[in-house]
Amino acid sequence: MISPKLQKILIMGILLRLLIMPFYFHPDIKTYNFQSSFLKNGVVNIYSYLTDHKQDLPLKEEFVYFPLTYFFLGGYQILASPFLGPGFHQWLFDASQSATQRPDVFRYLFILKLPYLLLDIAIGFLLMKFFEKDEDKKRVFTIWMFNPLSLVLIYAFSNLDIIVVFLTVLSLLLAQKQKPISAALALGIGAGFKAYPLLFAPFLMLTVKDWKQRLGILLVSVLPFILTIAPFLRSTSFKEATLTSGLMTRLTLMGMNLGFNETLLVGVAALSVLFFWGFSEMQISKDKLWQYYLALLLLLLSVIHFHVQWILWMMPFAALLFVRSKKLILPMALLLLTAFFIPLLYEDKAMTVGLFSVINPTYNLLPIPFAIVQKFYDPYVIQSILHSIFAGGSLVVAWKILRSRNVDIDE
Amino acid sequence: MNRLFWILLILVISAPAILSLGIRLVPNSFQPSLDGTQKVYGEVKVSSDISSSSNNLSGIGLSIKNPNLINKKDINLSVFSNGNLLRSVTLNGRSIGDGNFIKFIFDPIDDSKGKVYNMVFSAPGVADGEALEIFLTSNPDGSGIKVGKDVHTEGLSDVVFYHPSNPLSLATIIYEELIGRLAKDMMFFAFYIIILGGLGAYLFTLSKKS
Repeated sequence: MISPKLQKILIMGILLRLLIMPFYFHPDIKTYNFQSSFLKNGVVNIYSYLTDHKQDLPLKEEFVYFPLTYFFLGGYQILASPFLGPGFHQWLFDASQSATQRPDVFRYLFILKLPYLLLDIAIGFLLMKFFEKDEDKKRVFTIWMFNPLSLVLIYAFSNLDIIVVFLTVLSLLLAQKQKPISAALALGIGAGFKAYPLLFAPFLMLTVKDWKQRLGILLVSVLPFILTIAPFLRSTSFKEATLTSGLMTRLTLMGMNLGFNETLLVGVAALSVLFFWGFSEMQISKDKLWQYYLALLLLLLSVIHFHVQWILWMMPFAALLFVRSKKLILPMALLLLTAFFIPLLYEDKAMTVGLFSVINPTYNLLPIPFAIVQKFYDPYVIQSILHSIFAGGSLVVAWKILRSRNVDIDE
Repeated sequence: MNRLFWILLILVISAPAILSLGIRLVPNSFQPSLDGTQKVYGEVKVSSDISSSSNNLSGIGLSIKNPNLINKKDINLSVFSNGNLLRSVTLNGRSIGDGNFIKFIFDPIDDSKGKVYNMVFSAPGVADGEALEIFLTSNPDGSGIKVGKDVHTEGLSDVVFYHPSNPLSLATIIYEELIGRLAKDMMFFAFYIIILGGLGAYLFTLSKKS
């Protein structure tokens, strides 16, 4: 039973979320739910199916997520179908602009975002378990429940990364409870949805001393990922849609030419620095693991062109930092805001005014920030400046987090 | 914490109203399907009657074909009421990308509600080979177009724009329409209100206790 104070925070947080869920729309939620809807027809390999039936389908996009995402979303749709109603299938197949104006669109958005709400709240409760004092528990819960960036990222952008974020936080907690194998399993399951938790595995591995156990952790982290993608590896559509797009490709984009066709990959080098930092310590304290995760994500987003949704990956670790360090609250908040504004300057209506299109299609007529900035200055230069500021600030924050010998950064 | 909640609550509820302050044009509907084109050049003028559903009629938007930006000359829109020219807009083909949705915007006509206006598109200095082509729809809301004196069954695939009379009224309309649409799915609406009301009531009880 939680205290009345926490109950109040919880209810307030839920109310805010409920007020956003049905009214804000990003086309991604319709696209990936359209694709996942084929599960109930018995389609297992969605990648090949979409390629083979491209001509006949109203939405032509590839399914860019890993198979677990397809099974999760498709499975949820099957469970929720009595509540979604008979018009849901029509709505998914309606590629016209008027799809956002159907009266039942609010019901669909609400129901489709319900799992996000549950996972989001669960993260809030998990975060409290990282602290002993009631005051700290309350602080981290408040920060999580009232973080405006999370609200926008999860419910306006319909960000299914919340599933993976939940699993990474669960993994971190399990690691702290000295259950490294279970922690590795949670990471591995997370990687079955999106690959980025695999980047955490080497650091989780370093929380134990024994090399056998280290190898076990690595194996358990990678195994669920391999097992879930193995049946699809022969599918060209799968490889094209997932393995050759997204994070891994972006990680290898930025480089310095070393001559003779060799390139120094800045992203990989940054992650390597971080790994060897931990490795040189012989063993990473389980209590400091979150610091490595946060530093990793700060460095990662510094060197790649990222989706706004990816900022959510950092949010729980940032919440821990906000409680663990008073000095880094403002710098970290500023970094998160900067990171948030970079993608908002992309030339993409769906990421700004388009989010309001369910409320009223007239919002689509508003100029996007890219077009407004363009009247005064080159928006790409502004983006680059913001990204450079983010990278510089991230280096400082990552350095300060890692340099700290204690769990409480300021001590 | 309480203050933060109220700030966020007000922001969430008022965000659509704040953003609506930037809206200068309100469309009457979605653009109908694109089912064919009609060239506008020389003596070939295209006209269509538009029935205005609101005051402050201020423009019409159309999709226009201009392959390889071949047309670099003027296209005119003249707005007539009972044969009298009320407004005129000229755009140049240079700024019309192939297939782009182009808005012809003019000074708002204040008392336009319920009146019929004749919109005439012409391009006198343009030859057949370089003509812009206006997209048509086979499912027009109103009457078909006229090309010269010939009446066609297809209509303009257009969107008519109105200038909001004042920002506050637009925000009010947006919220009213939103609630109206929500209420059409009565089952969900009732469920949603009960959930919000229930949580609100519980919050009130908790606040009173503390």
